[in-house]
Amino acid sequence: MKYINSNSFGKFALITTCLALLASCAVEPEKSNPRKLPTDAEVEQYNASVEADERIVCRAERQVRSNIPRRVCRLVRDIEETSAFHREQLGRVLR
Amino acid sequence: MPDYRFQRILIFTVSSAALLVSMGSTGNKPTATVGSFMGINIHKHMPVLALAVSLLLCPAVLAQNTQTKVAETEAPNHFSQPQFEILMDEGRTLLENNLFTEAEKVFAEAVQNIKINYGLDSPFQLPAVNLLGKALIAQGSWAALDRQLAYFEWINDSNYNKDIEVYLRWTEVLSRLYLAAAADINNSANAHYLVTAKNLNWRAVSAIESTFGEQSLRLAPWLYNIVLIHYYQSSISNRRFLTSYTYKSESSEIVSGWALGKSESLQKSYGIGKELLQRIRVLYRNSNLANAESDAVNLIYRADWDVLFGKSRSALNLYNRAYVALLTTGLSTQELDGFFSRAKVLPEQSLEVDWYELNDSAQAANSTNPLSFTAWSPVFPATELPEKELPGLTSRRRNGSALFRFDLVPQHRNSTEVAGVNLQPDMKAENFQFLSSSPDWESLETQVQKEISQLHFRPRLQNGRVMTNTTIEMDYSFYLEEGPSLVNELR
Repeated sequence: MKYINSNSFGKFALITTCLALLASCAVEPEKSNPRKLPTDAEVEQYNASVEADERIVCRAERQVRSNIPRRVCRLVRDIEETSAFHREQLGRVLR
Repeated sequence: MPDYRFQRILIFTVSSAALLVSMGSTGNKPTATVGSFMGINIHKHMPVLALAVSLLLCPAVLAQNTQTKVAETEAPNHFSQPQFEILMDEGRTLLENNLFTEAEKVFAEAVQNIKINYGLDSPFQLPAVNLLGKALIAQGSWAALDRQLAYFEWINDSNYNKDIEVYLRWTEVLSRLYLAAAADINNSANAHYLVTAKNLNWRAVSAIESTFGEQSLRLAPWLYNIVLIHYYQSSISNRRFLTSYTYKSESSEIVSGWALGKSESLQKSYGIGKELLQRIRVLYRNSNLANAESDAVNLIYRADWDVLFGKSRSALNLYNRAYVALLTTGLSTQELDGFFSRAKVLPEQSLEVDWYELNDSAQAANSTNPLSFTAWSPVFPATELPEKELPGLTSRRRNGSALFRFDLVPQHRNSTEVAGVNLQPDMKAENFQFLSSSPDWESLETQVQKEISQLHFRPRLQNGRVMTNTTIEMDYSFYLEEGPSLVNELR
């Protein structure tokens, strides 16, 4: 039986832990990003043919508790509605 | 129109006399007759009565004739079909003579004439509305221009289903009208017109895609137009800290408070331009015109785009790839060095992917010494006048010019190049020597010098390496009316 020293075991444990951590980050691409987000040029082409409130706005946003920017696309109409809703809620709380 | 006034008066007089005579002749018991005429008894008061009736009727007939005359002079006869052609000629002459208000009236009349004779949505109106738009741009009547351009688009939209070629041709004309409005220094909504011009190009792209397919080579010039407009837009964005959503939108009203930072806006323009140039490259690769030379030329366009946005390292890499690709096609080093050693102000004004055509045009442009450069507008500083002369500006005098000699020195900014973009030129103009200017104003020297410092030159390469300093003589022309001063100094 071969003797396994504590140094080798430590390295092995470290590598295994790293691999396990990496594996835990892996997700199925289809589930995390079911649809490919449009590029800026595609967004611009679409926006050129629709009414102002039907336009899309795409930009990189940093989510709460993350420093990694993510591309988010929203309808201008939705942004407007959300803003109005938040303003209303804030007004109610501060009253 | 012949004048029948007197004939009509005569007919009225004779007919009324005849009527009275006949009335007189109908009586059973003719009393106090003065005689007979052709067997008819004439009453003694009959001639007097006839004269009185005639005198009463004459002013009415005269008034009717005069009214017709007045009506003819005040309201034009829109039902005369060839009338609009005469009006168009008249309007063109007025435009050439800078009589814009008069030209506007004449073209508006021509539009009315066409509507009546050919229908409300007649495409014959498009040339008239185009010229009317020019007259309005020259006068700075922006509200009226908006109405006319919206009307132009409405008429042109009907061409989409009838004849796509006609639709595309007039879309290009309309886009140029918007660009002309965007370039006007007196216009406070330059970006609005610029974005509308860009959106028109996008709509043309969508129309081509749905008619001819997404791989159609017809898309290439339209996509390149959008690339150019993004460059123009970046020169506006570069002067502002924030870009509001209104600014990015083609509508005049505020839609939301969404805003872009300057660098984000520039990044977006750079990214879209890069994506579209790559798409143009793929279109040519997949077409029957695909060859190694055109692919390499497309790489040069991509490299130029990186130069415009301060990405010198990646630009140099792309130029080198293009250089090597062209060498492998059998072109000589001498020929390539000849092309890359010529001073070229970027961006290229049109898309030309044929290497031989591109080389010939570069050779022709450099055959004149000094190098000639015509500034477009103070709204877009350091931007060359687009190839096709734009309406509105043609009528203005471009009689300012300044002759300069300067050294073009490559800048080594590789170490500072990061993910961001900037519009600072990679080739810096230094050691200016002012040679002459027209008019001979002192202030012109510093102003033109500032503008030349902002020009982007294609790096001059030899054996794929950036050449050292070179001396250039440039004849810089501009609109004297507005001066060469930079717009960010004016506002």
